[in-house]
Amino acid sequence: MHHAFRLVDDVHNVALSRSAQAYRLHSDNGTHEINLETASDGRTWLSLGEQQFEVTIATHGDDVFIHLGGETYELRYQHPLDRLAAEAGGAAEDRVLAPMPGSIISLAVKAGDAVSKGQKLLVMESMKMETTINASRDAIIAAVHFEMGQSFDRDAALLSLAPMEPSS
Amino acid sequence: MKRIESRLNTGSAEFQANAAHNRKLAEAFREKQQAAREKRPQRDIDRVRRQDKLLVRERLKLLLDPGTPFLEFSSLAANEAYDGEVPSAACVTGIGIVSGREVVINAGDPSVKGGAWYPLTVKKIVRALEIAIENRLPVVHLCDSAGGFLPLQADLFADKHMAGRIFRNQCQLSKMGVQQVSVVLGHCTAGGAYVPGLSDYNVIVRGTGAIFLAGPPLVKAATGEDVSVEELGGCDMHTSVSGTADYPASSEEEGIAIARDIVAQFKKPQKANVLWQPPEDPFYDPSELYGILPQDIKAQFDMKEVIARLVDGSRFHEYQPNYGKTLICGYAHLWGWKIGIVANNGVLFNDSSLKGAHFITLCNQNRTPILFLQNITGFMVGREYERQGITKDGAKMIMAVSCSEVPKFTVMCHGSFGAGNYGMSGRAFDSRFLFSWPQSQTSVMGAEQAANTLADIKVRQLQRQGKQLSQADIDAIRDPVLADFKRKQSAYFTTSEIWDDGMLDPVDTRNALGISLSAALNTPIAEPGYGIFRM
Repeated sequence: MHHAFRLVDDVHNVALSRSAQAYRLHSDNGTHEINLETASDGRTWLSLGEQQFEVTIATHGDDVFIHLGGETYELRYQHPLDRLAAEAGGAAEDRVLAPMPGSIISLAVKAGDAVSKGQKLLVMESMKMETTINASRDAIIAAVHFEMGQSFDRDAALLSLAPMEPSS
Repeated sequence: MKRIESRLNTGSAEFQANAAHNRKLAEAFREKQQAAREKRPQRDIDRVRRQDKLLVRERLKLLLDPGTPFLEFSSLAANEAYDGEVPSAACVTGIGIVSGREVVINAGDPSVKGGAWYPLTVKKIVRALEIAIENRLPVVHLCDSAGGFLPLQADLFADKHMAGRIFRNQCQLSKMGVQQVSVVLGHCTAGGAYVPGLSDYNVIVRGTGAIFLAGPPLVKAATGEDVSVEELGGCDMHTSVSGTADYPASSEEEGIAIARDIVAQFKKPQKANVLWQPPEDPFYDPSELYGILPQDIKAQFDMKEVIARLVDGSRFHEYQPNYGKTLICGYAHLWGWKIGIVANNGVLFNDSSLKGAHFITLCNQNRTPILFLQNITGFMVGREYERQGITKDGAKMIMAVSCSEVPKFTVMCHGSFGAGNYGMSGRAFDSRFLFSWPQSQTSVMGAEQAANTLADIKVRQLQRQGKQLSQADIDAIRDPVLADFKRKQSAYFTTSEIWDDGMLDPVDTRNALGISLSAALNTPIAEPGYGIFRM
């Protein structure tokens, strides 16, 4: 399994495999025998080849805090699928499409508004059901293509999004 | 399998308002449930005590392994029937752990009408035994029933799924090699006598337990014979003379302890081979479910947010994330077990129906149990969709659901209207377990649409007879229909009628599904096979 960690500003791609003794770590600069063990006294030891280091590890969601050799490192774990999707620039679309035919019953934004991910954009009605459409990412509303009450087909582009202005 | 990234803003006013609303509903449900379990008129409790008997909850406490969960079925059965006088339909059923084994429990409640069988009591017992059959679970019967409630005999006696079905199901269990124990704690008269009679093992309590086809008064009337309860069908007669009961017990405590020891002799089942990994709590807090569910049945919400609060680590492998997006399909783990999930995120279109049918067949091929999360107003209507064959695409989904061999589980999360109920494995489609959330609604169509349709027909009828109707007249036709529809589509009504296996506080859903899954895997999963998919 491939893993990616962000340490300060650098992304490290590593992979872990089983070895006869414990694990092998494969990275850009070679392969290392590696193991992590908690002793009966509760202290955790990281071994790398012949060397041993005492470490303290705490996790909070995807953030991993490691205390090693008098320094504290903060790593962030990124699922390989998320990383690959982001690398390909395959983030959210620039158009907000209608999930079903219907009409807009309330519009929360106008062209030029800055919206943040998850923010409510509009409420549409179809098949006696009200559906709220939220922003799939942070963006500027480039255009609103339908007015309140105007009906549209499935997959009609309701709004266009433009990227956020780079900050300063 | 990556984690679902929640887009929920838990600080928003809408979230907070939903959370407050749904917490109140959950609290109201728990109060109702507590009352159905414990609240009895003092005279009924006094009568049970006078007879030297324990209350049904006290018996359960003696029977179940301490510290283990008990998944109670249909605790609010009959809550809207018989003027509310038969709480829980006068019996307790569920899955519990006895001597380390998962068993179905069927316990009469003598504090409600002497444990008489009402029509819904029979329905509840039949369903519990059906669950035992489908999931190959041994059964412990705690027998204490006054017999069928005679004024309603026509509604509980003779039809296919009425009282006879209890005994038929007992025989089927025995034929399958699934064992049953009865503990006779009160009188088992007439049909009730067959519950211990058809069990593999039975225990009878001296003094209070009795088994006979007719009690002393009926015997006197029929043949003139004078006989006491003990002589006719008491503990010592049956365990030493007739051989109808196996183990004598001098108290309820001893009787239940013997039953526990009997269950301890049962083989432990081999679970079906479904992928399992150590369980992990959901990454997102399940109590956030309260903030997701909208207050209005018409309002949509993102079912992926619900999935994120049910499954291990909130991880989900989504299948066809870009196709037929109104139906979410994908894999997750729940309490460690690998499951497929089919969840509504809007109306079912042609593409979403096809995606559903395809995914269900995939799950069958790789023997993965399926969880259906319902919030569905139906299949899409209109000329374009009929031309695309929405009916035949819906039919494919219904075919896949019906013929599914993997265990299915259904949760009524919000709306369940029209044929969407069928496509998403509603009650008629043999989900192993089906649970409802308190605010969910189930009916053939929405209350307002139904009331308007019916009012329209009536108005046109009267107009043909030359009558003019005022708005007040129309309202007088419409309003009662609306009120009746609203009552009968509420989860309290559907659970009262046992159209589900019980109502759940949303935060308990993960645990209830965990117990259900574990139980379901006692049955080997068969080869998939289907009828004709209309192409």
